[in-house]
Amino acid sequence: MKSRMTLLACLFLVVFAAIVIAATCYYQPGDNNDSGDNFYGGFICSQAYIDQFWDHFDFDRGDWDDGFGYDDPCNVNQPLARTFNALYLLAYSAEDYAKRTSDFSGNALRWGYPYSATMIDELDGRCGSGNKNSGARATTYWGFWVDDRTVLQWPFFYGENVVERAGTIVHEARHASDKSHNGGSGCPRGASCDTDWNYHGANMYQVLYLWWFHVEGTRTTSAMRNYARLEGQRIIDTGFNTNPGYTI
Amino acid sequence: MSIILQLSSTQIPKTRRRLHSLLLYQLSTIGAKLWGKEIRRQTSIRPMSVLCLALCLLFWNCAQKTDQASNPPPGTPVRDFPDTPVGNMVNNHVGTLVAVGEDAEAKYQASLQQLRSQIPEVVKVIHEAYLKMDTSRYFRRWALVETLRELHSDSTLPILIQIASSLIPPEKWSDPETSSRDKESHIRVTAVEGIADLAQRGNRSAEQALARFFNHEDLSVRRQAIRGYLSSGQDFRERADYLQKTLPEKDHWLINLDLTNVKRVPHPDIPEDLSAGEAKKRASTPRIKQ
Repeated sequence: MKSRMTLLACLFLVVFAAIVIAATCYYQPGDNNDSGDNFYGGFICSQAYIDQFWDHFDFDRGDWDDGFGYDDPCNVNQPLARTFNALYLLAYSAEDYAKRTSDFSGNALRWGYPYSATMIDELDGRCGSGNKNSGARATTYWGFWVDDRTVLQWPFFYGENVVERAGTIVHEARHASDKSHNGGSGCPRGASCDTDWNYHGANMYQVLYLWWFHVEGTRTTSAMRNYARLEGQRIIDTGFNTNPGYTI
Repeated sequence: MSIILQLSSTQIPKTRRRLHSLLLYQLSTIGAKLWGKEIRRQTSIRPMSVLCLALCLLFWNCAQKTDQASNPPPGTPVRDFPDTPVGNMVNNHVGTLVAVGEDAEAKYQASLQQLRSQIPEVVKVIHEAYLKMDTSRYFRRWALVETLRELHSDSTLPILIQIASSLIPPEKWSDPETSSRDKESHIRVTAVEGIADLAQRGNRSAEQALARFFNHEDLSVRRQAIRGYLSSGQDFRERADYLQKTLPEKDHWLINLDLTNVKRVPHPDIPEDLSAGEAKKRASTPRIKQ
């Protein structure tokens, strides 16, 4: 009898916990022209692209339904289409973009997509803070006892423009290849620091992608390439314990 | 148990689903034994603990899946500019700034040319929009400053100085890998770039204004001001000497006009073949609404 009571109490607790943890969040698209989503949205709304991204990044229906965009993959107000936009930019911003995920030749602008598709086990959409201005934009989990995955959250979907999102995916892809930050809080931004450039960490990969986008990005404007330069330079200046001293 | 099994099979993907199938098997075995009183009282603590832990783990993972997103407010562009010919011109321009496609840059440059034909009105519209804009719209604010910079007009100088001089507000975000201060920095760096551009075109007031930012709290702003000053005249050596005397020693490394060639920085050794396989059409792929 005691065992049964314990079992029932346990079940009640975990079900209650599950209900409490469940999150509801609300879209915060703001101005979709500003973020670039309206423009990229016109390109990604093609079944061929959707099939490609869905397969390469191992999306799962259970991670993208319930309003995350599975039922409406072209709707740029919803998280899934905004993720596709970033993947489109990641895939097709090099003049001679990689046509196979096994093609790692060329610079970061070219291998950014194949590298990310290969390293990221699966992309999941979550509310996170449910607020585009707070909480982590993305977190990658990996390890022996962990289901390897990269979880994208509200600040990623609604707090970043398409170029920033692409850089974030490359950053997370580096984490997905079992590479943590190693600099503790020793860099100017005080968190997620890499000790130096030669550590070859996520910050370096993100900078390289943005840098090459600035130098050779195509099918975009010089303004967005300037913005990528600012983003890359900022990470150089704040994300390393030892500033590599580069000027983009 | 059947409810739990149903939840897991529909909501837990891939690796987790496999792990949880195993877990559920173990769970159901333990549960059945407990229910049938097959476990003696003195040995029941351990399986109960395992059961509780396993259930917690299972429901924790299930709970991760129950996020719901809803109530989309319309993503219609916010109107920042007056409904006038110049207001519409600026409104269209900020759209071309983020456009994508083979002709994106050509359209962007054509839009800039159009703006340059009516500089006084355009500057007024942009300045008014910037002042009334919600400060959390970092990218739009940056886009306006970038547009001012691209006008290459002396009439933008007071506005650029005002923007570059404004204090960077305290951090508002909580993401360790990006910050609102980064975005605020981008706005000010671009304003300083605009001032430097005017200085290079011979505007002495702009050149003098750059000195205000040599000791700015933000490294990116300081660097841009120093570079702008160095490139404002033919007398690089004299300018560099002046900066050596003026700046604190910790910033002497910034006194140069070199840009790093990305081809010369160390790159990672990317393996040649890490194939993720080519795209296959999967049954679960979302379908475009017809």
